[in-house]
Amino acid sequence: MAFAPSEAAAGPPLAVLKVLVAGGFGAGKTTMVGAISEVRPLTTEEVLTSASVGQDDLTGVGNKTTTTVAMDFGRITIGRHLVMYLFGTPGQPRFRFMWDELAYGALGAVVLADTRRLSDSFPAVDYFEGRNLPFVVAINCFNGVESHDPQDVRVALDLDPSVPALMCDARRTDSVRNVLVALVEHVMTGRARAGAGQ
Amino acid sequence: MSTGDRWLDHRAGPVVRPYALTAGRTSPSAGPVLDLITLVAASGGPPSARALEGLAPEHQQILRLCAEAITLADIASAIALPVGVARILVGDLMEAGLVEIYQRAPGPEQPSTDLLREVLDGLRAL
Ligand SMILES: Nc1nc2c(ncn2[C@@H]2O[C@H](COP(=O)(O)OP(=O)(O)OP(=O)(O)O)[C@@H](O)[C@H]2O)c(=O)[nH]1
Ligand SMILES: [Mg+2]
Repeated sequence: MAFAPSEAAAGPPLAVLKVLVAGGFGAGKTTMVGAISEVRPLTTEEVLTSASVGQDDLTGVGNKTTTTVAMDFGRITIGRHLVMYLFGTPGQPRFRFMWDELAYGALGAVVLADTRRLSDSFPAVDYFEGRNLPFVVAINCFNGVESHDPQDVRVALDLDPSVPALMCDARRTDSVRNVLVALVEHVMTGRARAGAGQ
Repeated sequence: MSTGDRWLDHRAGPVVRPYALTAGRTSPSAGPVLDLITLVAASGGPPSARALEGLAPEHQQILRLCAEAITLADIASAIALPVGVARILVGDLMEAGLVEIYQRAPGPEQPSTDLLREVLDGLRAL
């Protein structure tokens, strides 16, 4: 039997949660993870198809060709026994292979939407809808577009009415915290609804 | 079996780091799939000098990290190797009986509603 980590010896087992932060290129993923947690370096590998070979620095592995992809990786310690892990991933469809691994066992996801490039968030929204993974849309307030109406974004992304969409500033801890609170509340609401429907 | 030569065999041919560490393997040989937040821990407490003997430096490093339950993501980050490589190396240690799963990633019914309330309170207090 594994022994318990020393500080948890007398308490409940360590609980870990995983939250994804997805969004298009430059939507603020790294900023968001960094605003609320200590960001650590973490990489994963991408097995390249022949189509993408030649674009990146490559390492040959047998007949497989891989390249390393950096992920945003942060951890938030909540109380003594609870750790929430944040993983930020590139939003391009090419990185789907990472989403499958990240979505497995995840509590939910944050889709960062940049109002200047809303269509960049379509793949993430489609993906989480398809996997029935609870998500919230965080509309990142870049300078000059703070006045954007969440309702417009909802319509543009064709969000289900139950999916929360809120404005945020990915640079601010309190703002990012509000987004995570909205996500956890959304997960709880979804469960309560599922329970009531049975 | 001696654990010493299993880690790096010579059949794989010329491979470039980091896959040299895994003898060219790009997926774990067997066993349960380790999720990024699966917690693993050393099976018998802190590793003895004897357990470390004959292990590649990266395996030793992981075994030391596993003295307390730790996630695969934290291991990969701490040893500065890609997640896939860390997964294979942890798998080797599991196969050798030195490391075991402490707690799997939560299933769809988890975490419990009580735990989620705790998370909410914790987040609000940040
Ligand atoms: N004004 C403003 N700028 C922001 C905000 N969030 C991020 N930025 C800036 O936008 C730029 C891109 O942010 P990143 O966090 O690097 O975005 P990313 O999604 O990680 O980008 P990639 O990893 O390249 O896809 C940076 O220069 C940030 O400082 C925000 O809420 N408001
Ligand atoms: Mg980034």
